[in-house]
Amino acid sequence: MRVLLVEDDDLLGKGIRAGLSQEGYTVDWLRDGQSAEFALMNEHFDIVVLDIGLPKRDGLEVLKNIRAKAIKVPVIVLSAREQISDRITGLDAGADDYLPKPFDLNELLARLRSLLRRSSGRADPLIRYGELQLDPASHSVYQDGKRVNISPREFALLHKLLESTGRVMSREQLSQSLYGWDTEIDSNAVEVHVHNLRKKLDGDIIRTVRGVGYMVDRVQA
Amino acid sequence: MKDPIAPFQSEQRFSADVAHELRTPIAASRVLAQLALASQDINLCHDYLKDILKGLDRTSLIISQIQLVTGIHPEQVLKSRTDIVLRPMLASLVQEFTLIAGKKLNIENLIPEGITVFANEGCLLIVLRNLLDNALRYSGAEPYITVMAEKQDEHVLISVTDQGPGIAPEFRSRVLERGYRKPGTGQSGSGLGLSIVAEICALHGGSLSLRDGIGGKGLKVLISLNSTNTIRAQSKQTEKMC
Repeated sequence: MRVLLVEDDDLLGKGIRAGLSQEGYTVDWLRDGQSAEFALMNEHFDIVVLDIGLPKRDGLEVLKNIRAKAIKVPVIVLSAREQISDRITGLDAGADDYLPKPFDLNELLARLRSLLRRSSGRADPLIRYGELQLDPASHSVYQDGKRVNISPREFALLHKLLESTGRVMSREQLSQSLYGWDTEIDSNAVEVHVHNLRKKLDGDIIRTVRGVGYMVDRVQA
Repeated sequence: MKDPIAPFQSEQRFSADVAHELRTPIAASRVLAQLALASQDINLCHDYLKDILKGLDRTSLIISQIQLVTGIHPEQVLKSRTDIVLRPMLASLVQEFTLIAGKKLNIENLIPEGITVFANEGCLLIVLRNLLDNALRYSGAEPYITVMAEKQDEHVLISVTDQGPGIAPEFRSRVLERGYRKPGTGQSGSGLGLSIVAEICALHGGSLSLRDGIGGKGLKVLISLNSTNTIRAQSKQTEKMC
């Protein structure tokens, strides 16, 4: 899952980025509102962690602008203002959740999981697909009740595909979701992960869509 | 005209701003501490601890700035203004900074002998300390700072110029806002210093502005304060009128 972190404070940004990366998220970090808005208008992110007091463009303005363009990505707002009225303003500007500073890292992570769950239309904290079960909180995968040993990248890839069943994901989309901007990656890295996942999972869950990418069908027979 | 005393009067607003400023470094330290606790890697733990210290340093800097400002009472400040000779004041500040740094600092005192301003001594010290501290903090590993002063009509213009990265014009008004810290400086400023300096200058009937440094490089902070003679002349005139 790819997160856009927008935070102008060096230390806090560093801490959040480390916390999110440890959880297996791919984190792209921007420090001002203007470039955040540009990135959101032009690229796909699964979720956004947005600070309010930002240089160049205020976080709330960014939020209003992307919502006006019908960009539906879930957004959690971090703010140093904790008055009820500030929270209401944030939520009314289009935020899906609001967390006042200082906050607990584990709470932020839990709220992100909950937002991602809701954005994929799921109420169950576990992602179930036939006999396959994926737990975003503990990063574990079970098939037929047995634990499947998979790497963090494979987990992230499977998570992304299972959250988007019925939709074809291009290699580029998947690679962005796995690596973001920071890492120089091998052009067939996604293929390699898919190959390994197929070996580890029973049944043909991941389908290749020739010339486009991969998908997991919505309903499993 | 803007009431010069107003900025300090709204204590409620100030404490709200400061509480707001404290939240971010506390949030950062908290997140980093949680990461350190969860980490098995001793080197990573060390890095997190170093960052936690930076967060705490910023927190304490903000607190000392609060203490500074809460000590400023506008009416008393204006009542207790005196003539201050600038050159020796700066010289003793440079000594103070050198002592704290434990090494020679390149701060050139180019203030001509005999230039005086009519100001509150405590406030003027706050102003100069903040400007020197900023210049040292934000102008790289080998700071080179020049301090000049010149009398211009009724005012004395004092400038503190560094050769650091400077501040792009579009950021200049923002760095004067309370609590604003330019991103990516890697320094643990409080975000309050320049706004306090600007407010003190305004209280004294002067102003603060930011310019390019020498040859377009670095930053020049220019403040204007009343020169000694003007005020005397003005008050004499007022006496006559009464």
